[in-house]
Amino acid sequence: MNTPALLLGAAILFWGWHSGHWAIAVGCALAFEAARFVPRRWEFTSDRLNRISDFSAVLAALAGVWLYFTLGNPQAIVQFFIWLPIVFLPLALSQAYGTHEDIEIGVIFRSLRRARRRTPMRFNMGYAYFALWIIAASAANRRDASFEAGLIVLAAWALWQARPRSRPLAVWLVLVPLAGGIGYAGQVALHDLQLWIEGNAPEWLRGEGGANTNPYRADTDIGAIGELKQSERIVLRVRPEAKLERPLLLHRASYDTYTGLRWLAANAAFAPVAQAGSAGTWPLKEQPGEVQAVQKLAIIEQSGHVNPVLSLPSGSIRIEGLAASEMKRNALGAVQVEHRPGYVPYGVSFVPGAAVAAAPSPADVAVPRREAEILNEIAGALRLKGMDARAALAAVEGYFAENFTYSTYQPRTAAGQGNATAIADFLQRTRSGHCEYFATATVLLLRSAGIPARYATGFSVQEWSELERAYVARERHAHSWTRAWVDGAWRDVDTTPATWELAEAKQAPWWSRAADLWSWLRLRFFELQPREGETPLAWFALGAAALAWTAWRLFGKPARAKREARASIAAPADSPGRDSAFYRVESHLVERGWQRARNETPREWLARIGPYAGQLRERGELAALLAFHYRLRFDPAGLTLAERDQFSARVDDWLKRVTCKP
Amino acid sequence: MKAPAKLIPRIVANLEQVISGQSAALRKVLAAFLAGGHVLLEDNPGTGKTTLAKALAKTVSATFKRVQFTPDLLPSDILGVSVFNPGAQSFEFHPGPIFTQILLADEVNRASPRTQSALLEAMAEGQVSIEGKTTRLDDLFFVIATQNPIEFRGTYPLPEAQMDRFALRLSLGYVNLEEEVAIVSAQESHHPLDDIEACVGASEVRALREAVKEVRVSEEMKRYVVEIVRATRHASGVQLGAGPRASLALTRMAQGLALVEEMDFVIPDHVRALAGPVLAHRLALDPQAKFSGATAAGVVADVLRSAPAPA
Repeated sequence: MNTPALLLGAAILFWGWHSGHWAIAVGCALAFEAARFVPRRWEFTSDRLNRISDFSAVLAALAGVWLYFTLGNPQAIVQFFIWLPIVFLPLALSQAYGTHEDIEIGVIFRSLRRARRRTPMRFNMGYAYFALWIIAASAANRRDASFEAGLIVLAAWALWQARPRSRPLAVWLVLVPLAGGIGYAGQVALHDLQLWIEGNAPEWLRGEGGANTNPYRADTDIGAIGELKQSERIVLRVRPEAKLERPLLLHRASYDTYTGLRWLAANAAFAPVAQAGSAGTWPLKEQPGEVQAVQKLAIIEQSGHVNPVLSLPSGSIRIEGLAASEMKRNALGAVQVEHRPGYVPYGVSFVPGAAVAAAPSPADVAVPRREAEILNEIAGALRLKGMDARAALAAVEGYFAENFTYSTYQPRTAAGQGNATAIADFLQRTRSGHCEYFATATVLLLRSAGIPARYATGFSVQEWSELERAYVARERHAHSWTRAWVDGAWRDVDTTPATWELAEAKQAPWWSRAADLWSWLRLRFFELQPREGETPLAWFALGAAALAWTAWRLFGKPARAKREARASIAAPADSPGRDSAFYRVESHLVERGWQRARNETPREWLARIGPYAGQLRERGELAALLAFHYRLRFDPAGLTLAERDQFSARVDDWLKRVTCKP
Repeated sequence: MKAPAKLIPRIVANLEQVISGQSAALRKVLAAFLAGGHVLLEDNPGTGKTTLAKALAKTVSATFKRVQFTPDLLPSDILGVSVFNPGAQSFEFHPGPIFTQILLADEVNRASPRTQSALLEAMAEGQVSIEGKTTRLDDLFFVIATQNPIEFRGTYPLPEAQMDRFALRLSLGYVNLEEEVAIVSAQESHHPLDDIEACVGASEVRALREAVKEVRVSEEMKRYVVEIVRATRHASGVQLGAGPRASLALTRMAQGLALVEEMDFVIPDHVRALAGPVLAHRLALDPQAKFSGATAAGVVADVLRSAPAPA
């Protein structure tokens, strides 16, 4: 490694500090720094190095695929970068402990392997690998200033070795912190730019939103102007025992308090649910004594967030096969589990009509003051007061079905007309809106008739997917409806016109079918993964195949190796004048920062640096020395012994004159 | 330093009276002349191609002829023709302009391919065959051909195989502002070409040509030349690379340039200076590369960039 002593080790420990993998970091740091003290070296042929590099590449690809399918973006990308230096550990170690100081460029870049070069370009991985550790540390970044500070210190350490000796040290001391500061400012600005782009980018670019449900609060789009847009992403897959006759409402959370545009769950503290019987079984309610048909559903929920709220049918009594560490539920019927983001598969048994949530409280009949007048007016017109609860429900359903239409679009004039609230405006004037309008208006109308009601959110399951062989619910199937207390049980009442699904399906973009296919593939891959107690056969097979291939690459003897051996040409015989005294002049100037390019002749080099090298005094003498050098190197007649002595003496003289200060 | 090389500064000084600001190109043309290779000047009109050829002819007191190539020019217009002399009752050969020491073939790509090849064959063989009789050309025979790179209408571009006959292809290019003002001032009263006088004779040129052959080339330099030439064969975008004749020409021209610089051995700088002019016109690029903007000169520059220079 061409990095200065301890620098690489420091970078690795820096990674360990940020990622928290101290043990691994200390091990790797010791392995690399020990190479400076261990005299033992191994011979790695370029062919062997190629195979080690291929092994690292295969490892990287497998890790990438595995991380993507288990964690999903963006965690997969972050983890991939954190572990990237470990993936390239074998290659870096083989350079550190190899007999060669550097490796051929083709080891890293496959495309350059076949190029027929007599003198292949060589490359020392030291600084590149150092940078890789820093990048990995940045992925594990703890999001405080310590990363920036560490980065600047490590970069300055690396640059200190390469500082140009031809410039005053003070310039370097000013420029390095300046560059660090600009880098920090640039990084902040880049972050702001990303936030701006995310805010303005189309929904499918934004990554896994999932459909998150907050059991305490539901912010509605009531009163929002313009088109309501929702994603096509599949969030639920439901396999019922029998074909669904009509849309199945899967409930996530209910709310009892309306504050204008927002529903809150006011009286709903969470209480833990105890696991019972076999592992993964969570009883929600005693099975009712009377013999009723218990139905079952198998659900796979795809959640982009930790601790999802489960989607459950009305009257759920038991959840099965759910591997979660904890479960809790509130009085309004929301059930939340502790689970990491990703797929949450579970089964649910339910008895339609069974009361699971708690009995109504005074909050379930409260009508907000601002809408009370208009609600009483409509309730009066429908003669709801004093009507039997079942009859009142029928009357309300009929009222909405006859007089209201579904629309995802709210014209600008709709909201904020005078003092009317959005709901009042919906009831009186526009009579058109999406499910949140219908559900909220129905709840409030029932309450003004004295019937306890809640605002419920969840999903409407109705789309059958041939590909999945299951019902799927997309983000746009997110729905809200009303739960009314009728005859001692909560009943789901959905007053939104049934055309809403068709209206929203029209918004599906052209790429949604491809997205569905991709989503299906991801689920299949998830299902391949071993669950508890299962033998991960598929993974064993895949791992064994990868290992076999790698072993063949590492230890097999492919025919190409022989061809390469034959194609290589003998190195040219040593040229005369390799001991020329001029090389001392050259190394003196290189120390001052005037590096000669590989493709530059000494004459071109001196002509190039001449105008800039302030201390390139004795220019005439330098030309004379170069003439000597050229004769020694390129004139077959060469120099006589006396001339060689004279040449060497003049070089000594020149060096003495230019090194002593004037 | 051998005696003939002492003449070089005089020749250069003489030429620079007429051609100013073109020192590098001038030296390369002189190197080609001394090393016995022909030169193709490819440049915009009015950059001094003809003046350079005339000045060289005058400086070495050589015979000079100029042929303006046109589409209706016939091979006999260059080589010469036999005319029946009624008095002597015999055919008399009237030699064409090719029987000279320095020939300026102006706008060589305007003539028909047949005429072009008559000239190029003469350049390759150093002799011409007319009506079954072979006649040797002068041993100083040196061609400076010019062509105009911007016009394609009514021209017959030289095929790659024939381009190979030229040792060098150069372009003079425009000089900088001060030089151009100096040129205008110098020609206020009369052309400086009228002022210069011959400073070397034909015998001295022959001595210089012998001296070129004695310029030493080390094994390492030969290897460097061959490496560069071979690299053009594998370079990407090249359909046809430079052949061994190019290796020979590059070595010979480098010897010439060494003599012009008054050195008696070749150094890497000479090879690098001449690689572009010697190699670029011998490369045939594939159409794809041409279309994406690659040029032969660019390919040679890339080769020079990637080949480590002996130091």
